Amino acid sequence: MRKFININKYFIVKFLAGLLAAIVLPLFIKTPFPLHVMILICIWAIMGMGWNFIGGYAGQVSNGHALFYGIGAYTCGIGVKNFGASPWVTMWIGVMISMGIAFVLGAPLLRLKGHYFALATMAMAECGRIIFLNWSYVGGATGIDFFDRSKPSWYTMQFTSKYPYYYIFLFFVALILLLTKGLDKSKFGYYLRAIKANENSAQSVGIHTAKYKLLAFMLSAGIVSLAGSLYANYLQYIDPTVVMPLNISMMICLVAVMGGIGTVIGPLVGAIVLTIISEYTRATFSYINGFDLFVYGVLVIIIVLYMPNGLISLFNKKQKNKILTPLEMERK
Amino acid sequence: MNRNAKIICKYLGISLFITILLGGCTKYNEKQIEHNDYSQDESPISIKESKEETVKIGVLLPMSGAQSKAGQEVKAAMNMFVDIINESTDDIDIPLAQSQGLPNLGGRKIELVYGDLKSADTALSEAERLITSEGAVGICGLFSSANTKTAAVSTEKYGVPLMSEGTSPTLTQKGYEYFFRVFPDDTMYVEDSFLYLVELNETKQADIKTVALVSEDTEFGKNIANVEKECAEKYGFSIVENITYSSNATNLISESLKLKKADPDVVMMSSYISDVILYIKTFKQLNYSPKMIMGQRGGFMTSELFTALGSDAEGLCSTSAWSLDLQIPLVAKLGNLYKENYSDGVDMIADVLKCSTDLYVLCLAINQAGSTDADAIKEAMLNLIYPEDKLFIAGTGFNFNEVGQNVGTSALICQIKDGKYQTVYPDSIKAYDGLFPLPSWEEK
Repeated sequence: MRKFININKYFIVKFLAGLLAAIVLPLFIKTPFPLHVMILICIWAIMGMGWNFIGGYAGQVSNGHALFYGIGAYTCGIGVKNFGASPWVTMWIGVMISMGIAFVLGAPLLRLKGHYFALATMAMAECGRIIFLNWSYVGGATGIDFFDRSKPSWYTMQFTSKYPYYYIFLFFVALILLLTKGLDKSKFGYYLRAIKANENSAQSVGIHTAKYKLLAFMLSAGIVSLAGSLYANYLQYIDPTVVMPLNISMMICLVAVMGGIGTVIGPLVGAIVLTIISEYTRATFSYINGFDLFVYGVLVIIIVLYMPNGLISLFNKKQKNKILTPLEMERK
Repeated sequence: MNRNAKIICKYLGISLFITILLGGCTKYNEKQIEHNDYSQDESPISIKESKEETVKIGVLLPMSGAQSKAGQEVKAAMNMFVDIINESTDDIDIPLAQSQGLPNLGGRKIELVYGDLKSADTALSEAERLITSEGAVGICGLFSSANTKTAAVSTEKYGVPLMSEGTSPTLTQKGYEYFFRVFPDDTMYVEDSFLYLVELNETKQADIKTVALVSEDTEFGKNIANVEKECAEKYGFSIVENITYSSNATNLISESLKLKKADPDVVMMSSYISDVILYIKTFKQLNYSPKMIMGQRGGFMTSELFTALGSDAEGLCSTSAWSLDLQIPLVAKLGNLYKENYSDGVDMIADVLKCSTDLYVLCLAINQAGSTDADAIKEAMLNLIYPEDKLFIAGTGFNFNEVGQNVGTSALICQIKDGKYQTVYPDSIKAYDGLFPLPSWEEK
């Protein structure tokens, strides 16, 4: 177990301090909109951390994670609407289904390299969206609406206040952050990094690359699916254009890449910065047509230009002196 | 200070900065929400009370993307109605025009606060921001049915009236308490489309027997296609082709070839503006001209249609809820006022008038309620008093039933003639006899 999870003392202190701050922070916020932004940060952070396993650690850039996000959202929606099941249960069913689908699709797709894998995953997500659009059992284009203002409860995970949503989502963020940290310095994490650096070399030293890539893909799919379930429960209405559009797949990558790809807290930092920029530029410049998108785009370009290792490089001084992988050296 | 303490201080500092950032960007005061379940919750969250002189109304419009032009036009028309209400406007003889502001609220003026409507999930966050941060007492805008569903999660939660532009019949079946729709739903529009075909068969021996359905693949298109199938069966028309396509498509040749092969008498389309333009251009390229092209609003009810297609748009039909040629003096006055002072010489089209009428009706209800309290507005809306001789829409007035649907509204069929929509159905208010069948592309 010690070999599997390797978390140092200072990380625990940092983690607890950050968690304490995240718990205390909403108490100083008096309006729901900032809390809504914090909830979105949690969702994007979970998705970014999930994608980070396959895209960041294993270096297999997936552009199709909206499929798993949608599966999570739909499992939750159908469970609540059609079977009266609790989202606390259905979210794990969604995780299982997503991991199962990731296993089935990942086995052939992960044989593809680089751009081909990215394109294939994009096609996979689009096929999923079209299936859901035309599948009457899941509501087709009309989607599933499970808003019921009369039944707020912990069983249905539906609340009139935003605080319970925030703390539930924060719990999952903390959980997945710990999982990421645990796997970061584990054998599994090193195997994935080796695959990312040079797959042939990794194979030559005895790493079963196909197996570990598949495991990373499944883990990644499961975590993104969890975010989909949580978001569906928060939004209380889902349709394929809401939970499965291509831009969700792109945003998931962006969150992780902007924050710091292949790092523990990079996706979390990316989620905080990108969500705040996105929501507040829209709120501030909404009266000028499209200007918010312009501001958002300019800020993203600035971050990419001046912080190619992601926002995490601002906090992580060691990043500057770290040993670069061949891929990173080539990029430099 | 040891290292752990430094770390804790650093994180608390960062979180303090984020708190200031999040909280500082949002104006608020300490008024607790009083008019809904939310106040009974354990949450200490508060929303902003409109203590200012103005009554704020949230407007959600597409400010970017393919529908941004429509959003700009709706914004201009809403500003026109705000000016009519806020300033004394003798020329326009409608309630609230002769006074300044809302007389029952001591002359408080209307102020619009805007949100960008990019997608269904932004509808939720923007509606929430407008209600809780800006202090909007009602929400209206250019909604699709999907956007309405997510915006309604916010408006129902905070107990704020939502004036919907979503036309899906399912919206009135959800038990929303603060939902109102001034204009018809899809069932009424589609039913009128088929009644028009029946009338053409009876009066003009049009011999229309077959229909092809073309719908974009999201809720807008698919819902309408379902209603169209039911109505086609009800009125004895056979559906020879049913095409669903993605509204992001950049090439519609295969869909158009399918239509050409099926050769239906009427093509019924539920499409957004970019698709309508692409379809019509492809039809022309393939030299395919059905006897009639009937649009179900959407892209057919935008001013861009005329600028993009020019004379190729002639003869296209669309369902509608309003038209500039309605034989009501107020319609022409409002149309002229908009064209001369609020748009760049562009005529007001039905969807623009519809959204701004939603705003006007909300203002009427607020004034009649004499309060910005949601329940009082709801009560006033359900018992809205409006003089019939001052109507500027088709139908009998603003009579909302218990599910929030205005039962005094009616649908129209319009056809484009000389670059303008002309009413061709129902018979009682038509301004033009209609062109049937469509001429060939060479004759246009």
